Amino acid sequence: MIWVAPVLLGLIAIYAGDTQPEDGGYWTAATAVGTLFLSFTAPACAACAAWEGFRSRRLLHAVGNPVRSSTRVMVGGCWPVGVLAVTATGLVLWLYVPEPGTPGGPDVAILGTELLILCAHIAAGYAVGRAFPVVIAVPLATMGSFLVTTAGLGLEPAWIRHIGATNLYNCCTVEEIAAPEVLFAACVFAVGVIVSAVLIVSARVLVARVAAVLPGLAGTAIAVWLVLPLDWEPTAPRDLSAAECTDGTPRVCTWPEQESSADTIQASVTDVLARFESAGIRYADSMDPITFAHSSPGRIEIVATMVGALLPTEPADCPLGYPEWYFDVHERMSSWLYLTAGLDAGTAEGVAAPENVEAVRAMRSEWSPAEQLSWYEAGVDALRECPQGEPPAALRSVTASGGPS
Amino acid sequence: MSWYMAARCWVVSIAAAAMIVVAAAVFGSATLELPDLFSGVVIALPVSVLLPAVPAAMVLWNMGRGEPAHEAAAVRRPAEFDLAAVAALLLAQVVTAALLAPWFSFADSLAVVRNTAGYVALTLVLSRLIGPVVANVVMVMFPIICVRFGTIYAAGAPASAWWAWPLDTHSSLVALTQVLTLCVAAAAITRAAWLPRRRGVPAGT
Repeated sequence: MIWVAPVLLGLIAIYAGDTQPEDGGYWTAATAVGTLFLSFTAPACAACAAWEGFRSRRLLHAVGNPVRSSTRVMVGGCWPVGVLAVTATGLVLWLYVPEPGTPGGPDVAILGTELLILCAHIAAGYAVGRAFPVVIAVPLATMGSFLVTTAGLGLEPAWIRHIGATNLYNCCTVEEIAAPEVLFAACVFAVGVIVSAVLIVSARVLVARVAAVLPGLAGTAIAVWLVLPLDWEPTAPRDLSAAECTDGTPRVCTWPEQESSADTIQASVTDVLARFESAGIRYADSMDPITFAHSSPGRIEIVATMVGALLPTEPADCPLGYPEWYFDVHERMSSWLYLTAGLDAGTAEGVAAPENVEAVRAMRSEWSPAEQLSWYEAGVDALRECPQGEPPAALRSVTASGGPS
Repeated sequence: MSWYMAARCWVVSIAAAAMIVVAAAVFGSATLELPDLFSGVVIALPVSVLLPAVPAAMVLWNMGRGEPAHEAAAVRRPAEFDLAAVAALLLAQVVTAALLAPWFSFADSLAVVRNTAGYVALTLVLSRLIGPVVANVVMVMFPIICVRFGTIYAAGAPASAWWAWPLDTHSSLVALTQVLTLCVAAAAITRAAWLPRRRGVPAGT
């Protein structure tokens, strides 16, 4: 294990440079990105634990039955591996510590889940080391652990990704936290595996060994049941009471992580709202309260968030699907709002095809504000409903070939 | 001879090797999608590339079941017996492949045999240098290393680097040459009396 530690810690240090958390200024995201490194740490721990399992079995042959209970022998062999797991987890956390001044601290729930998962890998590895010849057990534990932590991410039903908590790595924006169901399910799964491993190691007859698998299966079943309602995202919305909101309509709420840039955010939002108002756009109810997903949003992110709140989300399960023009209309609406909010055409091309931006630019220079507004409102109405064959007549006047007809 | 076979448990490994050919043929081109989280590319590990590592890992278990000090002084040469048993294992795979030929591609099955031979040779060479346990761990990781670092995403279909022989198709002469070279090296190093056998595994465990 002395040999495994430098290899593991070196790998982590090398790869940590290649990957960034979802938001480097948010403790939860900085903690959650550490789950990515489970695919290194877990196989290393499982391999070391399998080696410890082999050593305890070798003692059984060489010395005879131990006085201590098999669980105590197991703990005695495995705690150094646990030290390795804690060291690796600590190194990962240290590599991603946010800038000083970031409010809060490491997300204890995510860290605890991570360590519990590592304990499960250690326990399972030890059991494999007790059950198989060492030349097979160590590679089996390494590869099995690697596949469990990695291959699940490529598999289809979402619960496979959730019960191992391995897809937490791109959690979370400032508006989100790790879903409690996912953390809880991962803990239940891990505890089930640990209990099974302990029972398998201490069982003396074959029937008891087979029966020892049951807690693991039960844990898996409960974990799957917990996360079954979730879709792919392992996140939950953050409680708005943590944010600080202004009075007025719409409210502007800033998270503790955005405290240093709160004044800039407020000023930008007021400016954009004033521009929207002078163009005649009403605040949608969906805009209240306005929050931003990044810890230090720039002007473009602020406008993009507000535009996203203004435009309706596409209706689900449309019988005719979504024809090309539906997305064209959406892109033109977005670019019109971008330009109205005072961004330049180059920025608008980040969200819309250049010809759509060009058409909207031509429209803005040739149409009266009232005509533009009625075009915009017709567009919002069209986006809200399922598309029916042809685009509404009011929208057809802006053609893709450029400019109003 | 029958005592030797029983003591070494070769039958288990030979049966497993034959089963692997069947499994690889049935699963065919199934792949394990391993998201390479750090580059954002999904690396597809074909099951038929990973499976031959199983019998290859078992070979060192078979060969480690004797007592090295006793075997060094044996009248018969266990090294040669072991190499013959490995040859029998590969022959069992070829026979299985031939039996499966009416239903599955014989050439693809032969690629599985080639990979088994390559993995066995690799782990035999490594086990004398770094010990059997670490040798098997390295050997099992080799397919993943090949997929992760040996796949070239050029224009068109992804190709494999010259050294990533497990990924090559059955007709690749470069892969075959590498595997044969490894086999010769493995045979030489297994028979070498001057290189101590490393183990740390007492008999019966």
